[in-house]
Amino acid sequence: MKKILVTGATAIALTVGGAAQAEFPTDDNITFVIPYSPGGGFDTIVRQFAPALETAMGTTVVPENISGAGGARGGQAVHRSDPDGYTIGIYNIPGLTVNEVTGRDQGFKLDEVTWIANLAVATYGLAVAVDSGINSVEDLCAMGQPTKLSDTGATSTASVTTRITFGILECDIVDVTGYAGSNDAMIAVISGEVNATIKPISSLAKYLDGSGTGDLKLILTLTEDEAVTGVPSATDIGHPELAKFTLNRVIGGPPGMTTEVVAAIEEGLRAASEDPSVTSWADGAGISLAFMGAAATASMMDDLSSFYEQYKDLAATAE
Amino acid sequence: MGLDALFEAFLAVLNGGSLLFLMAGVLLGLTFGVIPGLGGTTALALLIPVTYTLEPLDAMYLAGGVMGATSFGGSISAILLNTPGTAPNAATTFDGYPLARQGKAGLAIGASATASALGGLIGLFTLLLFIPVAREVVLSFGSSEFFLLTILGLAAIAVSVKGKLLRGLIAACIGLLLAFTGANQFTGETRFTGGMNYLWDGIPLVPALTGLFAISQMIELALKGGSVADEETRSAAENMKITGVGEGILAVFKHWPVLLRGSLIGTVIGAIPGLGGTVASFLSYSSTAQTAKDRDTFGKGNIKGVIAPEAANNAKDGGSLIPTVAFGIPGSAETAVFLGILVLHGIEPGPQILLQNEREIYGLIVALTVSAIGASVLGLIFARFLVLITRIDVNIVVPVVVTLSLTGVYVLEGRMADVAVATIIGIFGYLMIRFDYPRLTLVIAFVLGEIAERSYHQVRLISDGNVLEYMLGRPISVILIVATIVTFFLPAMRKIPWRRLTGSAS
Amino acid sequence: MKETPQAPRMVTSIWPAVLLLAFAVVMFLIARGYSATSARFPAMVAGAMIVLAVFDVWSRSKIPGAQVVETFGGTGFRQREMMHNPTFANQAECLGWIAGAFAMMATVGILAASPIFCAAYARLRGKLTLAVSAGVGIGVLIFQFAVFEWALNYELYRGLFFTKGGVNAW
Repeated sequence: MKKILVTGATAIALTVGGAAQAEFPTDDNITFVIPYSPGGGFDTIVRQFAPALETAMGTTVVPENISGAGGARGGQAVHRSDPDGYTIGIYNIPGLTVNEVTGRDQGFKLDEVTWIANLAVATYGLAVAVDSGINSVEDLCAMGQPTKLSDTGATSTASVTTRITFGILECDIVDVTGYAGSNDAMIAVISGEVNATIKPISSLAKYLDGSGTGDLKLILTLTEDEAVTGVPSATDIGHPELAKFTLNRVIGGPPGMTTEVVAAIEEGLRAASEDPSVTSWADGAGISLAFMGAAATASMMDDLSSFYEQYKDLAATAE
Repeated sequence: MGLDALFEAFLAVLNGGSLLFLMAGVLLGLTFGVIPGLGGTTALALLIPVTYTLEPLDAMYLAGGVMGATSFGGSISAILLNTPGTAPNAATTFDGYPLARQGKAGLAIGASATASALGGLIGLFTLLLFIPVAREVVLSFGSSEFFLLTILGLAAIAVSVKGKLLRGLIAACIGLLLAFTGANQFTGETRFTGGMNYLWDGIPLVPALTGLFAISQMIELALKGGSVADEETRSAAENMKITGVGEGILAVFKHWPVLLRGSLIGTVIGAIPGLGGTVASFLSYSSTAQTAKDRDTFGKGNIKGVIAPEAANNAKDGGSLIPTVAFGIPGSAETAVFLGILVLHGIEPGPQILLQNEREIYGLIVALTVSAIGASVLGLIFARFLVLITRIDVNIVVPVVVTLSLTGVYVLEGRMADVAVATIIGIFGYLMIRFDYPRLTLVIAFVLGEIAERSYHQVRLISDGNVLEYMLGRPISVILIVATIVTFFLPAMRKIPWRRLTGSAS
Repeated sequence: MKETPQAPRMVTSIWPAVLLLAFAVVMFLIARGYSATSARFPAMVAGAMIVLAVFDVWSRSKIPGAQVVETFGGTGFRQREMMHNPTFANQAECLGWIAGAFAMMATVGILAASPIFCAAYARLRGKLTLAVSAGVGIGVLIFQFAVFEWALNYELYRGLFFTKGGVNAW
């Protein structure tokens, strides 16, 4: 909620700009932009990281929700701010990557963002109803009619993942979109409206046997190696490229941040991600923390862009 | 297990600290309810960062206090200012405001307070009854049922606009077209956005409703001048004092079938994610007005027209928790924020929420119960002072309500564009009042439109194109189809002289 | 509600219906440009609205059958929502005030605009005494500050003049 009161303050900030950088980040609060409303996954991870980040960096971190336009508005706000390190944001990757590849104008370019770190990663799994009699991807694709899957919006990352995955598998599907949330999409599998759904394994867990109600069962994980005992991975079914589909919580800043400032924030986030308060929260909430530094994050972003560029046609939506 | 947990939760709330949070929630809820544009969702959204430092249970008390109190708070402005404090109170203006103008504001507030409290209790009681079967209930409501419910709602619009059917339908069309704005869930295509990123997510609900109900009404009031209560009724009101309050309380018990039906409609609609209180209270009002013997007096100050929507409006909170206890999914905007608070406390809502977070869920139920009663008691105590609002010069009421409601629109998401939307739609809403196009039909269509479209396309894909066949194979869908047909043809059927027909047949 | 037999000419004239008809036609044409799935509902609704608006125009016209449409379509003006009939100038002025409230919030911010607008409205449009007007302004300021800035620690919009990003940041 912090907005910068300008007038005289900017003038002062501008003149002391050089000096301020040297002792970053002591002279101001860090605004941490969340491009979604309070209470969601992105909001939560930022608010969990914020106190640990404060301790690590010795300055106040203020989470600010700037929601709208499918996450683009928050990204724009970060993009517009000064590259002094006092404004950073969390990005929905590969959601924004897919939008960009499919030609939607988001008001900023992803390759201009200064990437700082990757905080967490979620991997996907393909689940069917436990009593469906379907035990493998072959079963699912050999039903004599297109397989029905459930998703929220056609531009959601899960829906894009679903379309590309089954495109690669050369399996006919109907992706029934429009469910209010990923929970609703999973319930549609339980109630038998659709045959299967691809969702993050951590979300599916609550409906799986052992970790949850046992209404659903996994028949594939989009991972390189076996992620869940007894469930084939992407490599097992001969399509290791499917492991490229992940859901990342990436931190970035405005274009043109200096390497010193980036390094300072990167170190702060690294320390925060090892903080007991953050790790114990992640364990409880089923979040896989996967810290990556600035360089690794930037190259991952490039990778993702070219990966999705390859499947542009499948990612595009209009019926 | 359920009753024990409930009993424990009741004992726990009597703890000094907890009660304090609950009362704070009630006061905040009442305040935010009374002020047009500031509703329960806004209050809860603002509270999220505040609750971060609280114990999960205390956060639940605070949230429950707010949720339980806003709807009654909103009925006060609906009755006294003809401006619903929160969108679901819109239906209350139909009869609440005429009563206020007749100097019977006390009667209306008394009835509203009682109907709110009892409706809330009935809703929560129904929730408790449904907890064992909540899973089955949610699973039996699929895309087909969602679609048919929206059609039922749209049919109710058509029959509810007395004397201005054509203009009501035109307003509904505008509402639907507004609802289709933004990115389509099926194709990702953006519609009617004029290239504006802002409209990708569609026209936001709260700013639109605030403009349509609060801003437009303030313009109308400003042009009318004077104060809300008529000069001639003002003296009458003074003579009556606020003795009507007791009468209002009694009226609810006298019209208990209205209360019961309203509460049940509220619970059912509340359980359907996305429909919410505006639809619930509207359907409750229109079904009461349609079936009552004295239906001609509705819209002119019939007390049943206050009881019906307010009972439904409060009962919907209980209903909206049915999908929550079954699967951890929100049934309303408020429960969505409430689940967000849980997420923030490291609790991942899911199908086992009731097993794993029994304390929080029952804490919320208790908080809602206490809040529903507490808000009404507070309201009754202060009713005599609240009524004075109608005597305040409109030149004070209008600017204050306009600024506060625009502020409310801003704080929900922190977007000035929302404030612009509220202003533009507010001016449009005034033109609707001026040229006599009913606003409520636009709102109902606006709320239902998006769900209607996406659930229709879902059914089409799920059924491989055999939509009707698919629906007829589902019992609840069949019931809804019959209900829609009855709703639509009831007014026409009433005009047929049945007695003469049966007479000639025998 | 009292029943007035005669609605103002402006309200019953043909123009509101004609404007809505034009709106429906535009929406219909735009909707037709979308892909099949996206177009279905908007085109259907806009199409229905065209038909309804034509009837609305008809009922307001002197074309034969107008009376029949009025009876069956319920297009009468016997039970109107707004019974008073303000002058055009008065309405324009009032809408101007509302637009002004928004403009002021947008430029100098919500916290500053709220009390100024309330006091100015009460004084200039309401012709209330200076003391009352100032009182209203101060009351609103206290409320806004106490509830949002202080209790909820929420920074209200500071206005285009005092915020970076301009209109893009809305």
